[in-house]
Formats: sequence, C-alpha cells, structure tokens
Amino acid sequence: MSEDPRNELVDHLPALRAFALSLTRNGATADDMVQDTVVKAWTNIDKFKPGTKMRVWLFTILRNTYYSSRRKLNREVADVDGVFTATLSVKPDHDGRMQMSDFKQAFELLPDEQREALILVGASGFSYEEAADMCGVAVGTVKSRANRGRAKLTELLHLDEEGPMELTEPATMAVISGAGTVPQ
Amino acid sequence: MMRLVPLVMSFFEKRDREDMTDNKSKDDERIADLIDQNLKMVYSDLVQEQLPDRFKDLLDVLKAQDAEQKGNS
Repeated sequence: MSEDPRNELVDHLPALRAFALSLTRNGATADDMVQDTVVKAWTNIDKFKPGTKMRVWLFTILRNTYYSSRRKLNREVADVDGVFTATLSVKPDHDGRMQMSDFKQAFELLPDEQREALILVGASGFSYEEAADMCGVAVGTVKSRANRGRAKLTELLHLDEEGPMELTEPATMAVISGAGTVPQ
Repeated sequence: MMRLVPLVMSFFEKRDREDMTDNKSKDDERIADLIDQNLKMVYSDLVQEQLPDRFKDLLDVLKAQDAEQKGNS
C-alpha cells in the first residue's frame, strides 16, 4: 500500500504560505488562504495525480482561491496591510546596494499577475511551463508578465540610471552616518 | 582620400551603436539578475518564517475527522 499523499502536505506549508503572503500582502488573508487550500487539498486528494509535483497542485489551488475571492469581492485594490514589508528588519547593505525595504515596497506595488509571475519563476524555482500551467495561460504570457514586472521594478527603483545602487540621498546618508535629525 | 572619410565615419558610428546595444543588453541582464536575487531573498525570508500553530492544529483536526469517519463506517 502506497503512502497517503496527504502526509506530504505539511512539507509544502512554508512555501505555500510564502506564496500566499506575496500574493495577498496581508498576513491574515494569507493565512486564511492557506487554511482554505489545505482543507480543499485534504478533501480532494483523489484529484491529485500521483507522480506530479504536489507543490504545483497546491499553488494552483491557492491562486484559484485568491482570484475567485478577489472576483467575488469585485475589488481590484487589495487590502494591503504592509505585513510583507514588515516581515523582516532591514538588513543594512554595506556595499551600497539597493535596500531590501525599498525593493519590497516597490514589489508590493506591482499588479497581482506580475507579482505572481515574478515569484513563481524568479524566486520559487518553478519552470516557465509549470508557472504557465498553474496560471492557466501560455508560457509566453508568463514570460511577458515577468518581464513587465521587472521593467516596472527597474523604473520604480531607478535601476537603469547612472549609479543606481548608491545611497546618495542626503537623508539616507544622514541616517547611515548617524548624523541624527534630517534637516526639514 | 576624401571619399574614405564618410566610410570611416560610418564604421565608427556603427561600432559605437553596436557597443551601445551591447552595453544596453548587458545592463538589462545585470538588472534582471539583481531583481531576481532580491526576489529570492524576499521569498526565502518568507519561507523561513515560523509557521503559525493553526496549520498543525488544522491537519490534526482533519486527520481526526477522517479517523472518526472510518470508525463509523
């Protein structure tokens, strides 16, 4: 008798929750989505095809849950509570590269579809084919969403300008050098 | 000799243009890499967050429900 695939669920929860957080940008909503996904997966485990990646299946359920609730609420503007940007203390970048907090803030501004494409292919290690499968679109669509997302981040973070990685703003420099209050 | 000048000029112009496209695509690549590095950092921080207890509890409840149903049937 083969092992119950449901035993594998728990291993995917951290990744599933990370995906939910990047999609919803709201801690409470993300955890509700993960809970819904776990219940759906548990009760529909017969629909899981053994031999396929469970993580792909779970991510698909989660994103369907997210988009159908977004449609139901008929809301394009999500309730963002900043949990995403608040998740980590800012690590100082000694080599003067862009600050993590700036990156997260810019990332939160991207449309759902672009954020999703970037997380799936840029960060969580899925192939373009797997991501396209999950999103129910063509591979080219995922690619163009990811590229548009990168272009938007480039614009928001001024990455294509001369000396973009330097922290040259007087306010930032003042904070770094511990100069105290920033002149108004 | 004079006829050569426009040719030479166009050679340099072409070379400069190619250099610029080269640099541009190198820049794009560098920016894309930088973005992906940051994405990976953000995502792995989220993955490493402590998982709330409610999920373990939920799985326990689901397991218990199944066991109960099996017992009844």
